[in-house]
Amino acid sequence: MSSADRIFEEYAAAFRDGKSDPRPYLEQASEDEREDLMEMIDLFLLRAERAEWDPDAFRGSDAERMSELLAERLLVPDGGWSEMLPRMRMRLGIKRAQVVTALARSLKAGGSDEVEKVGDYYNDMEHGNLRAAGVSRPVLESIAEIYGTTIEALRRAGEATVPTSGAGGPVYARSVDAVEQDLGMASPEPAFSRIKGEPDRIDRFFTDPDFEG
Amino acid sequence: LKFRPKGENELSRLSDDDLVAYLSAARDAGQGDQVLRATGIFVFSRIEVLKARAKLKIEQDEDVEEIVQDTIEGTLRAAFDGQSPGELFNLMDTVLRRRIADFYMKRERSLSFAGPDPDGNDPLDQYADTEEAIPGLLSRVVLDEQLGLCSDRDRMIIEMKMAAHPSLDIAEKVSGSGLPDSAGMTAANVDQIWRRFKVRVRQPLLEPGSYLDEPPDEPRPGIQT
Repeated sequence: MSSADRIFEEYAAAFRDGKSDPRPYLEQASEDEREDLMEMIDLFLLRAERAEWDPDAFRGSDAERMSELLAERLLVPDGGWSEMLPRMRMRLGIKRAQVVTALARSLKAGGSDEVEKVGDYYNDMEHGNLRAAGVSRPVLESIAEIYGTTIEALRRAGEATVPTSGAGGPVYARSVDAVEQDLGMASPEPAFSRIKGEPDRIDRFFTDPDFEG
Repeated sequence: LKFRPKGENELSRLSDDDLVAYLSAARDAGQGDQVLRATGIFVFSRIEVLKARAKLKIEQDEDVEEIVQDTIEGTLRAAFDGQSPGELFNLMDTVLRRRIADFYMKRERSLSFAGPDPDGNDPLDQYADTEEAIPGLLSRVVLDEQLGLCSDRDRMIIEMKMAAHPSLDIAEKVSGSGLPDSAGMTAANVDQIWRRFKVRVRQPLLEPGSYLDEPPDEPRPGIQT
């Protein structure tokens, strides 16, 4: 038996005993045998079973600290609304038109023009092309209800929203931008807005965060 | 679709795939406490193996922590997006090896940008030895492929060797197994089969382009080309 084999067996026993750090064992190996030992340990670890849940060992451990950091980050979807909304819709197995119908009903949109506009705005949301901070509470409440989520989760995702490729460009509320311009902190003038003339109530639902309908 | 929270014990008994699906659903439902709970169980089940594997290639503990955290996050996000190419464990293995390769590439770049110190020493020189030792960790996919090519007898030997059983014990067990060509197996035979297998698992990773299961866009650290 080579000394690498012996050290490997010692490491495996130590790992099963809860001591997983391989470095002290690698240090024991001669330079010639270190690479071989590393590979044996790697093969052993590739075959290792997942650890059984142990709540007592978890409390106060590195795993707990890492979980807290990760959970915070995982709560935010990578692409924000453009990732979250289509995924939730697909999970429910419903079409965008069905979501729009439910949303339009909840916002009491009257007539085909208003329903169509709700559809346009919702489409903007799914493509990450609507400024999340401008969307009113009734819209978020309605979407949260449709998808069985919370307003907070929608807001969190909204903040992380990025436009999907090929989308038409962001839709902004001119009024909010004007405020930002006045404060000297505005982004460049928006390229596109659905608001024609005075904003109507559908525009306000999607571009005025304080609008209650 | 109503999200139904599960208790800690129920979550701990879920398969990897089911636990990740639950985590994704909890996130969509905005159930932060459930995301935390499921993440905790997932992390606990994997952290020691991931840390141990990272420590085979990375010296500093804080770098190991960061790589393991990035690996778990990257794996979960890819699984949420439905990008899992198969078993979650394979995906995690791929992500870990990528993160370790990224770590070395970043370090190499930053040291290259830094250039020689005032005394004319190249900071890259101090890593000359370790660079050669970094063709990366072994691949679970390659391991499974190579195991699939083995005879039943050899697979039994290799599985037992990977679990760190002594060669003599393996030889005795295999000799009495009744498998074809297993009678009279010696410890030396076992060692020879094990040695050959290790070469077969390592070899595909030394071929340019195969290191990270995808064509590299630039040379990987430690690959001799």
